[in-house]
Amino acid sequence: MKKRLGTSKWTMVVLFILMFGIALSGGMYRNATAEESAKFKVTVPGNSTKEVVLDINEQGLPKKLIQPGMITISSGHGKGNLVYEGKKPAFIQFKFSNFPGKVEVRYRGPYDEKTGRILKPIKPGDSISIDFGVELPADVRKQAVVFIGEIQLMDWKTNKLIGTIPVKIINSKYETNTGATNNQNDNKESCH
Amino acid sequence: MWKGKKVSKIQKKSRMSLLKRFIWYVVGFALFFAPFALFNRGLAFLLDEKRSGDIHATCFRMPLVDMLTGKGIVILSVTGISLILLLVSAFLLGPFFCGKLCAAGAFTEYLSRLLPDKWKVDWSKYVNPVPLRYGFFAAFIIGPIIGLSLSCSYCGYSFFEKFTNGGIWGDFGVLGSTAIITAFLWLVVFGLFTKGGRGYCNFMCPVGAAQNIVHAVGAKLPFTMKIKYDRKKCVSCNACVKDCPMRALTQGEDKKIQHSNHNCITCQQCVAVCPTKSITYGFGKGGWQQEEVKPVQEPKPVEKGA
Ligand code: SF4
Ligand code: SF4
Ligand code: SF4
Repeated sequence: MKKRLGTSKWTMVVLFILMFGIALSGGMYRNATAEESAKFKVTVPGNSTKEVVLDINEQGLPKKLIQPGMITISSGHGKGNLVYEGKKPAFIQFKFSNFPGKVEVRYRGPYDEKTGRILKPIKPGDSISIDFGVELPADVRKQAVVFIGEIQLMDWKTNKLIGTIPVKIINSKYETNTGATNNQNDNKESCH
Repeated sequence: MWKGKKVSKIQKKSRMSLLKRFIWYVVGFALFFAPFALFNRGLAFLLDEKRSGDIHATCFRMPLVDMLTGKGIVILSVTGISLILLLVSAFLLGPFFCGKLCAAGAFTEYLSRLLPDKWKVDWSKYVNPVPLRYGFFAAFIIGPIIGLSLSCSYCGYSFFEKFTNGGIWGDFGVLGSTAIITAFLWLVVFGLFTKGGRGYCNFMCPVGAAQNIVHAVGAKLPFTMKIKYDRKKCVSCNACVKDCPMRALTQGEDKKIQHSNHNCITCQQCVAVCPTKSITYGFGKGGWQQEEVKPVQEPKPVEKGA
């Protein structure tokens, strides 16, 4: 057996620096593909003034190859950017208007998938971490504007609309009807 | 004949040890990973904290960055207490979390054992994993300062949880490019096709690296638990080297065994297979040689007529 690399001080330093560089490149790649997931911030009652825009042409190669038809719209991990500032506890229910496929909600608490309801009331001042996994069928992905929709937040006890999050998914690979190519809004927020 | 019997005895011991360790990892899975996450939920309940019932609640990765980049952590919180327990246990017992509880690391180890050795790469034969894992760890800590966070991307825990919570049946949820790369490296390249099955642990896990830094310091002290070696008893059968999932053991030119506290997870697989009880786990001095001894040279073929 030959002597392995990284047993002398110098080769150890070289390997350390090499891996340091590779890992930082991994961080750069992660930043470059940050737009694969759209982030939103919303305080309810109220509507998100900023449209959540995501360009599926900005997906990294692994995503394009393995899972191009699923995207995430996320309030971010940790504390979460869906903040409830009502006066009474809210019973939040999500409705998805004009979405082209299934929406899978990832909420780390009691949630009823069938009705889209969070089963425990959200107290005033609480923030929620939630992800919406949106399915994009192959045919809709091949157009400049994939879809324009809205996530509606209802209070399922009072049946009142307490907030909305406008969503626009585009594919800059294709041109709009007017001939202009899509231009994505600034929606680059990192996970943490 | 005698040799064959001895090998099978060692294999038997190895399997018994794997079984015992498996029980620990099942406990670890129930404690830290969704859908159970009993540790996370229990601690959150005691501290009256609102926490998710999954690995993200105790995530050691983010608080590690916060602590080491000077952001600080709240000690009396789920993440604070988890991190302290992780580091204190690593100091006193060795990387206890890795060796006994981390189901993510164990998963790829057990998976790789399903493949014959000839299909697997023994990376440690070609390269010392220690500088590589510390290089990754340094980037993990320094990255966020320059806007290159590695915390959530390339996370083996997160992918393992996705895998066990639906992934086995094909439902991974939404995957990003970095999660797909992680899956490929963690499960395939550094898992299934790596000798020991713990390539991700060796090269890409900052939590493991942090524990080993602490362990390497702790192991110098007599009152801490560590893997120990009695050179006089060792018959150089190499069984420990072959069975070490982290490839933390090597055989030197003098046929004696060399050990690294910088990637040993104190899983005690080597203790179980050693036929002469030369390797033990306990208090006191380690008994290992300090310098890395040159690996064994294969005998050169003798030319005819020489
Ligand atoms: S090195 Fe990381 S993935 Fe491996 S066992 Fe330890 S904590 Fe788990
Ligand atoms: S040296 Fe022994 S205790 Fe350490 S990782 Fe290898 S088998 Fe486990
Ligand atoms: S320490 Fe034990 S298992 Fe390892 S080579 Fe020596 S006798 Fe064999």
